[in-house]
Amino acid sequence: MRKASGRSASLDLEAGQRRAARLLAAPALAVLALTVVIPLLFAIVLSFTRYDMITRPRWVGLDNYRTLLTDPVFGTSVLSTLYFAVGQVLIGIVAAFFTAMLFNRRLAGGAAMRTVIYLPQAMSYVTVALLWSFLYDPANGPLDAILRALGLSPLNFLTSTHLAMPAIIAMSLWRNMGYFMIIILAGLKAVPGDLIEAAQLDGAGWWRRLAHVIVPQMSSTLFFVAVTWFLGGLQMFTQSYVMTQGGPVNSTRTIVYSLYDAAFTSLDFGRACAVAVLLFLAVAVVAVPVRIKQQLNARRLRHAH
Amino acid sequence: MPTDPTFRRARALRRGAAAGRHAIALLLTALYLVPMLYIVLVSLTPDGQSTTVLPSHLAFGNFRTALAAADFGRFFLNSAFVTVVASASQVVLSCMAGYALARLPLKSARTVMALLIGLLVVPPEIVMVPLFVMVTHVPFLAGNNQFGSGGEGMLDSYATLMLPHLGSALAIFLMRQFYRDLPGELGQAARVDGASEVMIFARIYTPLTLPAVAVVTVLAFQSAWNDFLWPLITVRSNQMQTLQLGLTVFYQQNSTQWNLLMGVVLLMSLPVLAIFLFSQRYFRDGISAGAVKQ
Repeated sequence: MRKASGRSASLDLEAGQRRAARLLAAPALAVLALTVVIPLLFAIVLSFTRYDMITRPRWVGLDNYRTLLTDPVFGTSVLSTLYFAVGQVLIGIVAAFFTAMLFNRRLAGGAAMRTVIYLPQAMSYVTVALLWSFLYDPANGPLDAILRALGLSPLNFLTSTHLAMPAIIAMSLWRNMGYFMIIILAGLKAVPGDLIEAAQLDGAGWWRRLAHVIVPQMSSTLFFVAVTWFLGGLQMFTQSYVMTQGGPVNSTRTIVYSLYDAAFTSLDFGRACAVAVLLFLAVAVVAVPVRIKQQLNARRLRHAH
Repeated sequence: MPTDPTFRRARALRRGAAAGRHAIALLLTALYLVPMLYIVLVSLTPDGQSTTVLPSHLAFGNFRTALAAADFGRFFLNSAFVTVVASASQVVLSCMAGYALARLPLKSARTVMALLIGLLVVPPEIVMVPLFVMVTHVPFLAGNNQFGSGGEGMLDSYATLMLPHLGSALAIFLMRQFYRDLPGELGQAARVDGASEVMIFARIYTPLTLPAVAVVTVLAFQSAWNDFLWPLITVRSNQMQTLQLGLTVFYQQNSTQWNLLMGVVLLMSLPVLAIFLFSQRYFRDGISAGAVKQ
């Protein structure tokens, strides 16, 4: 008798907990369904249609994808995006790593200097883009003024097809370097000191210690930073929109810029969704194996303990 | 031993290296500080004077002129309103869902977690176009018929500006991790005392998650405050512009009035920079929390 009532009480408790769980989880999941899952599925469906928001969507099969893959302007935007993403990561990871190495040692005023370097993280891309638009301005900005004062010809950064993208890369590096520097710094602090000391006792110089001890110890952090930064780069839009409007001659037109342009200049929402699906696939191709690898690493680590 | 010449040479070398490190660090810091201070100078340069030489005097009146040049006060308040509501929503919803996933028996918990991890890799730009089509077709609003066509639906509204920031898979994920690491005995004790499940969530566990709540708030604040693409496509009227959009529109219309533009950029960045410096720790924690993303 007592045993049975005990079981029913625990069943009651369990039922109450299940009800509470559903109640608490439902609102957030509903919001995510409405703002991410449904739009994502909707984008996939729309990508197979021709749709201008005036007449009803018309099924066109793979036409949008075929158009995109043969469109030289879209091809250029893919290359520009890769140029931006790869360029920023390659320069940035070296800069962020050595900056972190610098701040990993004791420095007078180190904390204050570190704060200044990651201060741009508190500024929006729009404000940073405006600031740099001024720095790059050929008539009123300081960079070309310095060149002129040195007797060199001004570079007109943002109106040159060769320099506009590097100029945007420089601006993005300026904003983002501090962020990744902080992540790398946290990784450096976790490198066991006795490993470095042992290498030092073996007579390994600064460079050998760096190449044979620190970098290998940091490989997962550096890999994480590279992937995150690269994926962020694939989504670049604001800088191009504010600073160059995708120009000159499409030289700073990115994938997301093409998406925006297809939808809101050409009113071709089907093609815009096809761009979105392609971008999603590109991101997934990079992110999913990385996730799986991370999960496996975490599991191996757990088993090892 | 201190008189040993090799020792002295080593010490001198070490000192030299330390000085070199300081010099490089200062140079790097200058790379950040000089442009920022330069902007201050430009915003104080009188109209018509060159921005590449020192101004003849400091024109503090620029700030008033700049603020009056467009409805920046309104844009700022728009952004603040959207950001505060969206952040609050993200925090509340993520606490609820994170707790349910971590501490309560949820039949589909595994599926939900797998889905959330999948959603972490969806870039926000991808859902902008379908979301735009959806908000334009909400039935019975702004000239729409019962099928949701004919008008502009929910475009140009605060609700729409907030929409993409109301919930976040990353925020739920972070809160779940935090709740999971709290001791289970707390809830058991309260249950014995007859507390309801919702009470245990709200009164026992959630007050302990403040550090995680701070991180989620910072991440939500940044995503809502800095958003540009979504306001760009959904805002129609001047008065609904967010700060980021208003600044861009102003730049595109008055691109040569650098002193006014930089003045506004400066004024509008100050509150956020102040919040940033005040809550630096949580920004930094947010960065490492972002490390579970991708």
